[in-house]
Amino acid sequence: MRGRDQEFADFFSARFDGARRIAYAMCGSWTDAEEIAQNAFVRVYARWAKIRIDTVDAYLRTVLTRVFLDSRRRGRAREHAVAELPEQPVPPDHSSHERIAMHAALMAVPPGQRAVLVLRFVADLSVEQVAETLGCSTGTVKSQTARGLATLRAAYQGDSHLARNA
Amino acid sequence: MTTDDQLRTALRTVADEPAPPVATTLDHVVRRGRRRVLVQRGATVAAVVGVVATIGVGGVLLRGASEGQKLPPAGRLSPPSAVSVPTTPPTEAPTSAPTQTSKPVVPPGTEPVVPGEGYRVTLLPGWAPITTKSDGNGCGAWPALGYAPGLAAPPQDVVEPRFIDEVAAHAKSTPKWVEGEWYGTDLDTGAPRTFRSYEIDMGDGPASMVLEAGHFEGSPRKAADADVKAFGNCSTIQRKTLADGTILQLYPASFASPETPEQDVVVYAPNGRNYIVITQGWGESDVVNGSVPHGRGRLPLDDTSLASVAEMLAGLGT
Repeated sequence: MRGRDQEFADFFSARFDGARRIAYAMCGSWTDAEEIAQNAFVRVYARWAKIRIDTVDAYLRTVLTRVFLDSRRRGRAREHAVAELPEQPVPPDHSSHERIAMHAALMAVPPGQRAVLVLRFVADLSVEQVAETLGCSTGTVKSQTARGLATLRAAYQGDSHLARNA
Repeated sequence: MTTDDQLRTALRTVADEPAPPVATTLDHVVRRGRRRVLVQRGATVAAVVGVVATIGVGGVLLRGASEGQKLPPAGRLSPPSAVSVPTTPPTEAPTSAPTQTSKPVVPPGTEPVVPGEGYRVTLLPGWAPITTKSDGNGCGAWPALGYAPGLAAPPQDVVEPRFIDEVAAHAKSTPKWVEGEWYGTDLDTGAPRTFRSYEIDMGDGPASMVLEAGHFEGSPRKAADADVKAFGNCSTIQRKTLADGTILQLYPASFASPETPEQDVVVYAPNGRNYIVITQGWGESDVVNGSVPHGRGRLPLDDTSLASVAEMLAGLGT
Protein backbone atom coordinates (compact mmCIF):
# COMPACT_ATOMS: atom_id res chain seq x y z
CA MET A 1 0.00 0.00 0.00
CA ARG A 2 1.30 3.43 -0.88
CA GLY A 3 1.98 5.49 2.17
CA ARG A 4 0.56 8.90 2.86
CA ASP A 5 3.95 10.52 2.46
CA GLN A 6 4.61 8.76 -0.85
CA GLU A 7 1.32 10.08 -2.24
CA PHE A 8 2.23 13.55 -1.10
CA ALA A 9 5.72 13.17 -2.58
CA ASP A 10 4.18 12.36 -5.96
CA PHE A 11 1.85 15.31 -5.70
CA PHE A 12 4.70 17.63 -4.69
CA SER A 13 6.86 16.50 -7.61
CA ALA A 14 4.05 16.92 -10.10
CA ARG A 15 2.65 20.23 -8.90
CA PHE A 16 5.27 22.34 -7.14
CA ASP A 17 6.78 24.03 -10.16
CA GLY A 18 3.38 24.81 -11.65
CA ALA A 19 2.22 26.29 -8.36
CA ARG A 20 5.39 28.36 -8.15
CA ARG A 21 4.76 29.75 -11.63
CA ILE A 22 1.20 30.73 -10.74
CA ALA A 23 2.53 32.40 -7.60
CA TYR A 24 5.16 34.16 -9.70
CA ALA A 25 2.50 35.50 -12.03
CA MET A 26 0.67 36.87 -9.00
CA CYS A 27 3.60 38.40 -7.12
CA GLY A 28 6.23 39.15 -9.79
CA SER A 29 9.13 37.78 -7.77
CA TRP A 30 10.63 34.30 -7.98
CA THR A 31 11.84 34.59 -4.38
CA ASP A 32 8.36 35.41 -3.09
CA ALA A 33 6.81 32.84 -5.42
CA GLU A 34 9.01 30.13 -3.94
CA GLU A 35 7.99 31.15 -0.43
CA ILE A 36 4.29 31.32 -1.30
CA ALA A 37 4.34 27.92 -3.01
CA GLN A 38 6.28 26.37 -0.16
CA ASN A 39 3.86 27.70 2.46
CA ALA A 40 0.93 26.47 0.40
CA PHE A 41 2.37 22.96 0.19
CA VAL A 42 3.07 22.93 3.93
CA ARG A 43 -0.61 23.70 4.53
CA VAL A 44 -1.68 21.05 2.04
CA TYR A 45 0.57 18.49 3.76
CA ALA A 46 -0.94 19.34 7.14
CA ARG A 47 -4.41 18.48 5.80
CA TRP A 48 -3.35 15.73 3.41
CA ALA A 49 -5.24 12.96 5.23
CA LYS A 50 -8.49 14.94 5.06
CA ILE A 51 -8.35 16.04 1.43
CA ARG A 52 -10.08 13.99 -1.23
CA ILE A 53 -7.71 13.27 -4.09
CA ASP A 54 -10.16 14.64 -6.66
CA THR A 55 -10.27 17.99 -4.90
CA VAL A 56 -6.62 18.37 -4.00
CA ASP A 57 -5.76 20.59 -6.97
CA ALA A 58 -8.60 22.95 -6.13
CA TYR A 59 -7.51 23.00 -2.51
CA LEU A 60 -3.93 23.81 -3.51
CA ARG A 61 -5.12 26.69 -5.70
CA THR A 62 -7.21 28.07 -2.87
CA VAL A 63 -4.40 27.89 -0.35
CA LEU A 64 -1.87 29.31 -2.81
CA THR A 65 -4.09 32.29 -3.59
CA ARG A 66 -4.86 32.92 0.06
CA VAL A 67 -1.20 32.78 1.02
CA PHE A 68 -0.45 35.27 -1.76
CA LEU A 69 -3.20 37.68 -0.72
CA ASP A 70 -2.21 37.37 2.93
CA SER A 71 1.41 38.13 2.14
CA ARG A 72 0.38 41.27 0.22
CA ARG A 73 -1.54 42.55 3.19
CA ARG A 74 1.36 41.98 5.50
CA GLY A 75 3.58 44.68 4.18
CA ARG A 76 4.87 46.01 0.96
CA ALA A 77 8.35 46.63 2.31
CA ARG A 78 9.27 43.05 1.54
CA GLU A 79 7.79 43.35 -1.93
CA HIS A 80 9.75 46.53 -2.47
CA ALA A 81 12.99 44.96 -1.25
CA VAL A 82 12.59 42.00 -3.55
CA ALA A 83 11.50 44.11 -6.50
CA GLU A 84 14.94 45.67 -6.70
CA LEU A 85 16.79 42.36 -6.88
CA PRO A 86 17.67 41.14 -10.37
CA GLU A 87 15.93 37.83 -10.70
CA GLN A 88 16.00 37.19 -14.40
CA PRO A 89 17.68 33.79 -14.68
CA VAL A 90 18.70 34.44 -18.28
CA PRO A 91 19.14 37.74 -20.12
CA PRO A 92 15.89 38.78 -21.78
CA ASP A 93 15.84 38.44 -25.54
CA HIS A 94 13.78 40.54 -27.89
CA SER A 95 10.79 38.17 -27.76
CA SER A 96 10.59 38.37 -23.99
CA HIS A 97 10.24 42.17 -23.86
CA GLU A 98 6.49 42.01 -24.46
CA ARG A 99 6.13 39.44 -21.71
CA ILE A 100 8.14 41.57 -19.30
CA ALA A 101 6.00 44.60 -20.16
CA MET A 102 2.85 42.55 -19.56
CA HIS A 103 4.09 41.32 -16.22
CA ALA A 104 5.08 44.84 -15.16
CA ALA A 105 1.60 46.01 -16.11
CA LEU A 106 0.05 43.12 -14.17
CA MET A 107 1.87 44.29 -11.04
CA ALA A 108 -0.01 47.59 -11.36
CA VAL A 109 -3.31 45.75 -10.83
CA PRO A 110 -4.46 45.58 -7.18
CA PRO A 111 -3.63 42.18 -5.62
CA GLY A 112 -7.23 40.92 -5.39
CA GLN A 113 -8.01 41.68 -9.03
CA ARG A 114 -4.56 40.43 -10.01
CA ALA A 115 -5.28 37.08 -8.39
CA VAL A 116 -8.52 36.85 -10.36
CA LEU A 117 -6.76 37.63 -13.65
CA VAL A 118 -4.01 35.11 -13.00
CA LEU A 119 -6.45 32.37 -12.03
CA ARG A 120 -8.66 33.10 -15.04
CA PHE A 121 -6.05 33.56 -17.75
CA VAL A 122 -2.75 32.11 -16.52
CA ALA A 123 -4.14 29.11 -14.63
CA ASP A 124 -6.92 28.96 -17.24
CA LEU A 125 -9.77 28.41 -14.79
CA SER A 126 -13.43 29.01 -15.46
CA VAL A 127 -15.35 31.78 -13.75
CA GLU A 128 -16.98 29.16 -11.53
CA GLN A 129 -13.63 27.63 -10.57
CA VAL A 130 -12.19 31.05 -9.69
CA ALA A 131 -15.25 31.81 -7.58
CA GLU A 132 -14.80 28.51 -5.75
CA THR A 133 -11.09 29.19 -5.26
CA LEU A 134 -11.67 32.64 -3.82
CA GLY A 135 -14.85 31.77 -1.95
CA CYS A 136 -16.89 34.45 -3.68
CA SER A 137 -19.74 34.68 -6.19
CA THR A 138 -19.35 34.34 -9.95
CA GLY A 139 -20.65 37.90 -10.22
CA THR A 140 -17.77 39.13 -8.10
CA VAL A 141 -15.30 37.26 -10.28
CA LYS A 142 -16.77 38.83 -13.42
CA SER A 143 -16.70 42.35 -12.03
CA GLN A 144 -13.18 41.90 -10.62
CA THR A 145 -12.06 40.54 -13.99
CA ALA A 146 -13.47 43.53 -15.83
CA ARG A 147 -11.92 46.04 -13.45
CA GLY A 148 -8.60 44.18 -13.45
CA LEU A 149 -8.49 44.10 -17.24
CA ALA A 150 -9.21 47.83 -17.39
CA THR A 151 -6.33 48.61 -15.05
CA LEU A 152 -4.10 46.14 -16.89
CA ARG A 153 -4.93 47.66 -20.27
CA ALA A 154 -4.03 51.18 -19.12
CA ALA A 155 -0.77 50.04 -17.54
CA TYR A 156 0.17 47.77 -20.44
CA GLN A 157 -0.36 50.43 -23.09
CA GLY A 158 1.75 52.82 -21.02
CA ASP A 159 4.57 50.30 -20.65
CA SER A 160 4.44 49.25 -24.29
CA HIS A 161 4.60 52.89 -25.34
CA LEU A 162 7.64 53.43 -23.14
CA ALA A 163 9.30 50.27 -24.47
CA ARG A 164 8.78 51.32 -28.08
CA ASN A 165 10.32 54.71 -27.40
CA ALA A 166 13.23 53.40 -25.35
CA MET B 1 -5.94 49.89 -28.73
CA THR B 2 -5.34 46.58 -27.02
CA THR B 3 -8.41 44.39 -26.97
CA ASP B 4 -9.40 42.16 -24.09
CA ASP B 5 -8.57 39.11 -26.23
CA GLN B 6 -5.08 40.43 -26.89
CA LEU B 7 -4.64 41.11 -23.20
CA ARG B 8 -5.77 37.61 -22.27
CA THR B 9 -3.41 36.10 -24.82
CA ALA B 10 -0.49 38.17 -23.52
CA LEU B 11 -1.42 37.33 -19.92
CA ARG B 12 -1.08 33.62 -20.63
CA THR B 13 2.63 34.11 -21.31
CA VAL B 14 3.67 35.81 -18.07
CA ALA B 15 4.48 32.57 -16.25
CA ASP B 16 6.27 31.05 -19.24
CA GLU B 17 9.62 32.71 -18.74
CA PRO B 18 12.70 30.66 -17.76
CA ALA B 19 12.60 30.14 -14.00
CA PRO B 20 15.42 29.75 -11.49
CA PRO B 21 15.84 26.21 -10.12
CA VAL B 22 13.38 25.15 -7.45
CA ALA B 23 15.01 25.61 -4.04
CA THR B 24 12.29 23.97 -1.96
CA THR B 25 12.82 20.30 -1.17
CA LEU B 26 10.18 17.74 -0.33
CA ASP B 27 11.95 17.02 2.97
CA HIS B 28 11.70 20.64 4.02
CA VAL B 29 7.99 20.82 3.21
CA VAL B 30 7.25 17.56 5.03
CA ARG B 31 9.21 18.64 8.12
CA ARG B 32 7.31 21.94 8.29
CA GLY B 33 4.03 20.18 7.56
CA ARG B 34 4.54 17.68 10.39
CA ARG B 35 5.40 20.49 12.78
CA ARG B 36 2.24 22.27 11.74
CA VAL B 37 0.16 19.14 12.37
CA LEU B 38 1.68 18.77 15.84
CA VAL B 39 0.97 22.39 16.70
CA GLN B 40 -2.62 22.06 15.49
CA ARG B 41 -3.11 18.90 17.55
CA GLY B 42 -1.61 20.62 20.57
CA ALA B 43 -4.01 23.53 20.17
CA THR B 44 -6.97 21.16 19.88
CA VAL B 45 -5.95 19.24 23.02
CA ALA B 46 -5.43 22.50 24.89
CA ALA B 47 -8.87 23.70 23.80
CA VAL B 48 -10.53 20.48 24.97
CA VAL B 49 -8.69 20.63 28.30
CA GLY B 50 -9.76 24.27 28.64
CA VAL B 51 -13.42 23.46 27.98
CA VAL B 52 -13.37 20.53 30.44
CA ALA B 53 -11.65 22.67 33.06
CA THR B 54 -14.16 25.48 32.53
CA ILE B 55 -17.08 23.08 32.93
CA GLY B 56 -15.47 21.61 36.05
CA VAL B 57 -14.77 24.98 37.64
CA GLY B 58 -18.22 26.22 36.67
CA GLY B 59 -19.79 23.20 38.34
CA VAL B 60 -17.85 23.77 41.52
CA LEU B 61 -18.75 27.47 41.57
CA LEU B 62 -22.42 26.73 40.94
CA ARG B 63 -22.44 24.19 43.74
CA GLY B 64 -20.73 26.72 45.99
CA ALA B 65 -23.28 29.38 45.07
CA SER B 66 -26.15 27.03 45.76
CA GLU B 67 -24.65 26.37 49.18
CA GLY B 68 -24.75 30.07 49.98
CA GLN B 69 -21.14 30.90 49.25
CA LYS B 70 -20.32 34.22 47.55
CA LEU B 71 -19.08 34.07 43.97
CA PRO B 72 -15.92 36.00 43.17
CA PRO B 73 -16.53 39.26 41.32
CA ALA B 74 -16.53 39.08 37.53
CA GLY B 75 -13.58 40.47 35.66
CA ARG B 76 -9.92 39.83 35.14
CA LEU B 77 -8.15 37.59 37.58
CA SER B 78 -5.03 39.71 37.27
CA PRO B 79 -5.02 43.45 36.76
CA PRO B 80 -3.50 44.59 33.46
CA SER B 81 -0.55 46.15 35.21
CA ALA B 82 2.69 46.81 33.43
CA VAL B 83 4.86 44.89 35.86
CA SER B 84 7.75 43.54 33.89
CA VAL B 85 9.38 40.19 34.37
CA PRO B 86 12.83 39.57 32.95
CA THR B 87 12.72 37.17 30.06
CA THR B 88 15.28 34.90 28.56
CA PRO B 89 16.08 34.10 24.97
CA PRO B 90 13.78 31.63 23.25
CA THR B 91 14.32 28.09 24.42
CA GLU B 92 13.02 26.41 21.31
CA ALA B 93 13.31 26.85 17.61
CA PRO B 94 10.60 28.89 15.91
CA THR B 95 7.78 26.67 14.71
CA SER B 96 7.64 28.54 11.42
CA ALA B 97 10.85 28.02 9.55
CA PRO B 98 12.02 31.16 7.78
CA THR B 99 12.35 30.71 4.10
CA GLN B 100 13.15 34.09 2.65
CA THR B 101 16.77 34.80 2.10
CA SER B 102 17.62 38.37 2.89
CA LYS B 103 20.40 40.17 4.68
CA PRO B 104 19.52 41.91 7.93
CA VAL B 105 19.25 45.61 7.26
CA VAL B 106 20.67 47.47 10.22
CA PRO B 107 18.61 50.45 11.32
CA PRO B 108 20.50 53.71 11.80
CA GLY B 109 21.96 54.12 15.26
CA THR B 110 22.53 50.45 15.96
CA GLU B 111 25.76 48.51 15.93
CA PRO B 112 26.55 44.80 15.74
CA VAL B 113 26.96 42.90 18.98
CA VAL B 114 27.84 39.59 17.38
CA PRO B 115 28.14 39.83 13.62
CA GLY B 116 25.19 38.07 12.07
CA GLU B 117 23.58 37.29 15.41
CA GLY B 118 22.27 40.53 16.83
CA TYR B 119 22.53 44.26 17.08
CA ARG B 120 22.68 46.58 20.03
CA VAL B 121 19.39 48.31 20.65
CA THR B 122 18.33 50.92 23.16
CA LEU B 123 16.19 48.95 25.59
CA LEU B 124 13.01 50.47 26.91
CA PRO B 125 12.64 50.43 30.71
CA GLY B 126 11.17 47.11 31.81
CA TRP B 127 11.78 45.39 28.49
CA ALA B 128 14.22 42.52 28.05
CA PRO B 129 16.35 41.82 24.99
CA ILE B 130 15.80 38.71 22.93
CA THR B 131 18.67 37.97 20.59
CA THR B 132 17.75 35.98 17.55
CA LYS B 133 20.40 33.70 16.18
CA SER B 134 20.95 33.85 12.49
CA ASP B 135 20.53 30.53 10.73
CA GLY B 136 21.49 31.90 7.36
CA ASN B 137 17.92 32.03 6.13
CA GLY B 138 17.33 35.64 7.09
CA CYS B 139 14.13 36.99 8.58
CA GLY B 140 10.57 36.99 7.30
CA ALA B 141 9.20 33.80 8.87
CA TRP B 142 5.46 33.35 8.93
CA PRO B 143 3.83 34.48 12.16
CA ALA B 144 2.40 31.87 14.52
CA LEU B 145 -1.21 32.34 13.51
CA GLY B 146 -3.76 29.85 14.74
CA TYR B 147 -7.28 29.35 15.99
CA ALA B 148 -8.39 29.79 19.58
CA PRO B 149 -11.86 28.18 19.78
CA GLY B 150 -14.59 30.38 21.17
CA LEU B 151 -12.63 33.62 20.89
CA ALA B 152 -14.61 36.19 18.91
CA ALA B 153 -13.25 39.32 17.28
CA PRO B 154 -12.54 42.12 19.75
CA PRO B 155 -15.36 44.69 19.97
CA GLN B 156 -14.72 47.42 17.43
CA ASP B 157 -16.50 50.10 19.45
CA VAL B 158 -14.13 49.46 22.34
CA VAL B 159 -10.81 48.83 20.67
CA GLU B 160 -10.73 51.08 17.60
CA PRO B 161 -11.42 54.43 19.31
CA ARG B 162 -8.81 53.68 21.96
CA PHE B 163 -6.29 52.69 19.31
CA ILE B 164 -6.90 55.84 17.27
CA ASP B 165 -6.72 58.06 20.36
CA GLU B 166 -3.52 56.45 21.58
CA VAL B 167 -1.81 56.76 18.20
CA ALA B 168 -3.03 60.34 17.78
CA ALA B 169 -1.68 61.28 21.20
CA HIS B 170 1.81 60.15 20.21
CA ALA B 171 1.83 61.05 16.52
CA LYS B 172 0.17 64.46 16.99
CA SER B 173 -2.08 63.60 14.08
CA THR B 174 -5.27 61.55 13.96
CA PRO B 175 -5.11 58.30 11.97
CA LYS B 176 -7.69 58.06 9.19
CA TRP B 177 -9.02 54.66 8.12
CA VAL B 178 -8.09 53.77 4.53
CA GLU B 179 -8.80 50.07 4.08
CA GLY B 180 -9.55 46.77 5.75
CA GLU B 181 -12.36 45.25 7.74
CA TRP B 182 -12.91 44.75 11.43
CA TYR B 183 -14.98 41.59 11.47
CA GLY B 184 -13.09 39.56 8.92
CA THR B 185 -11.91 35.97 8.80
CA ASP B 186 -8.38 34.68 8.54
CA LEU B 187 -8.23 33.03 5.14
CA ASP B 188 -5.87 30.32 6.32
CA THR B 189 -7.12 29.33 9.76
CA GLY B 190 -10.76 30.43 9.63
CA ALA B 191 -10.31 32.39 12.86
CA PRO B 192 -11.89 35.84 13.26
CA ARG B 193 -9.40 38.40 12.10
CA THR B 194 -9.32 42.17 12.07
CA PHE B 195 -7.19 44.02 9.55
CA ARG B 196 -7.48 47.79 9.48
CA SER B 197 -5.08 50.19 7.81
CA TYR B 198 -4.94 53.89 8.72
CA GLU B 199 -2.90 56.81 7.46
CA ILE B 200 -1.31 59.64 9.37
CA ASP B 201 -0.42 63.00 7.89
CA MET B 202 3.32 63.49 8.37
CA GLY B 203 3.36 66.99 6.85
CA ASP B 204 5.31 65.91 3.77
CA GLY B 205 3.05 62.95 2.99
CA PRO B 206 1.35 60.00 4.63
CA ALA B 207 2.60 57.29 6.94
CA SER B 208 0.62 54.15 7.77
CA MET B 209 -0.56 52.37 10.88
CA VAL B 210 -1.99 48.87 10.58
CA LEU B 211 -3.92 47.14 13.33
CA GLU B 212 -4.47 43.41 13.12
CA ALA B 213 -6.30 41.32 15.69
CA GLY B 214 -6.25 37.57 15.32
CA HIS B 215 -5.57 34.28 17.03
CA PHE B 216 -2.35 32.44 17.77
CA GLU B 217 -1.60 28.85 18.73
CA GLY B 218 -0.23 27.67 22.08
CA SER B 219 0.87 29.79 25.00
CA PRO B 220 1.87 33.46 24.68
CA ARG B 221 5.47 32.48 25.39
CA LYS B 222 5.49 29.75 22.75
CA ALA B 223 3.91 32.02 20.13
CA ALA B 224 6.28 34.87 20.94
CA ASP B 225 9.25 32.52 20.68
CA ALA B 226 7.95 31.22 17.37
CA ASP B 227 7.69 34.75 16.04
CA VAL B 228 11.15 36.04 16.88
CA LYS B 229 11.94 36.22 13.17
CA ALA B 230 8.47 37.01 11.90
CA PHE B 231 9.08 40.74 11.71
CA GLY B 232 11.92 43.20 12.01
CA ASN B 233 15.39 42.78 10.62
CA CYS B 234 16.60 39.59 12.31
CA SER B 235 18.34 41.53 15.05
CA THR B 236 17.66 41.97 18.76
CA ILE B 237 14.03 42.38 19.71
CA GLN B 238 12.53 43.54 23.00
CA ARG B 239 10.02 41.65 25.12
CA LYS B 240 7.90 42.51 28.12
CA THR B 241 5.81 40.04 30.13
CA LEU B 242 2.86 41.43 32.03
CA ALA B 243 1.50 40.09 35.31
CA ASP B 244 -1.39 38.27 33.62
CA GLY B 245 0.97 36.43 31.26
CA THR B 246 0.49 38.73 28.27
CA ILE B 247 3.67 39.11 26.25
CA LEU B 248 4.55 42.22 24.28
CA GLN B 249 7.19 41.85 21.58
CA LEU B 250 8.72 44.94 19.99
CA TYR B 251 10.73 44.50 16.83
CA PRO B 252 13.38 46.92 15.59
CA ALA B 253 12.54 49.09 12.64
CA SER B 254 13.53 47.53 9.35
CA PHE B 255 14.48 49.54 6.32
CA ALA B 256 13.82 48.04 2.91
CA SER B 257 15.26 51.34 1.77
CA PRO B 258 16.14 54.48 3.74
CA GLU B 259 12.82 56.02 2.74
CA THR B 260 10.53 53.13 3.64
CA PRO B 261 10.99 52.01 7.24
CA GLU B 262 8.59 49.60 8.90
CA GLN B 263 8.27 48.52 12.53
CA ASP B 264 6.07 46.01 14.35
CA VAL B 265 4.91 45.26 17.85
CA VAL B 266 2.85 42.20 18.77
CA VAL B 267 0.67 41.54 21.81
CA TYR B 268 0.11 37.90 22.81
CA ALA B 269 -2.73 37.61 25.35
CA PRO B 270 -3.34 34.47 27.45
CA ASN B 271 -6.73 33.94 25.77
CA GLY B 272 -5.08 33.34 22.38
CA ARG B 273 -5.66 36.85 21.02
CA ASN B 274 -2.85 38.63 19.29
CA TYR B 275 -2.68 42.24 18.24
CA ILE B 276 -0.17 43.13 15.56
CA VAL B 277 0.53 46.82 15.13
CA ILE B 278 2.55 47.81 12.10
CA THR B 279 3.85 51.29 11.48
CA GLN B 280 5.16 52.20 8.04
CA GLY B 281 6.89 55.29 6.70
CA TRP B 282 4.73 55.52 3.61
CA GLY B 283 1.11 55.54 2.49
CA GLU B 284 -1.06 54.18 -0.30
CA SER B 285 -0.27 57.16 -2.52
CA ASP B 286 3.41 56.14 -2.47
CA VAL B 287 2.71 52.72 -3.96
CA VAL B 288 3.71 52.54 -7.62
CA ASN B 289 3.21 49.31 -9.52
CA GLY B 290 3.09 47.30 -6.32
CA SER B 291 6.27 48.66 -4.81
CA VAL B 292 7.19 51.75 -2.84
CA PRO B 293 9.97 53.72 -4.48
CA HIS B 294 9.74 56.69 -2.12
CA GLY B 295 8.48 57.28 1.40
CA ARG B 296 8.86 59.60 4.36
CA GLY B 297 12.14 58.12 5.58
CA ARG B 298 10.85 58.05 9.16
CA LEU B 299 8.13 56.42 11.21
CA PRO B 300 5.17 58.19 12.82
CA LEU B 301 5.88 56.59 16.22
CA ASP B 302 9.15 55.91 18.04
CA ASP B 303 9.90 52.79 20.10
CA THR B 304 8.42 54.24 23.27
CA SER B 305 5.21 55.34 21.58
CA LEU B 306 4.74 52.05 19.74
CA ALA B 307 5.30 50.16 23.00
CA SER B 308 2.71 52.40 24.65
CA VAL B 309 0.14 51.48 21.99
CA ALA B 310 0.84 47.79 22.63
CA GLU B 311 0.45 48.21 26.39
CA MET B 312 -2.84 50.03 25.86
CA LEU B 313 -4.15 47.15 23.72
CA ALA B 314 -2.99 44.60 26.30
CA GLY B 315 -4.75 46.54 29.03
CA LEU B 316 -8.11 46.39 27.26
CA GLY B 317 -8.39 42.71 28.19
CA THR B 318 -10.20 41.90 24.95
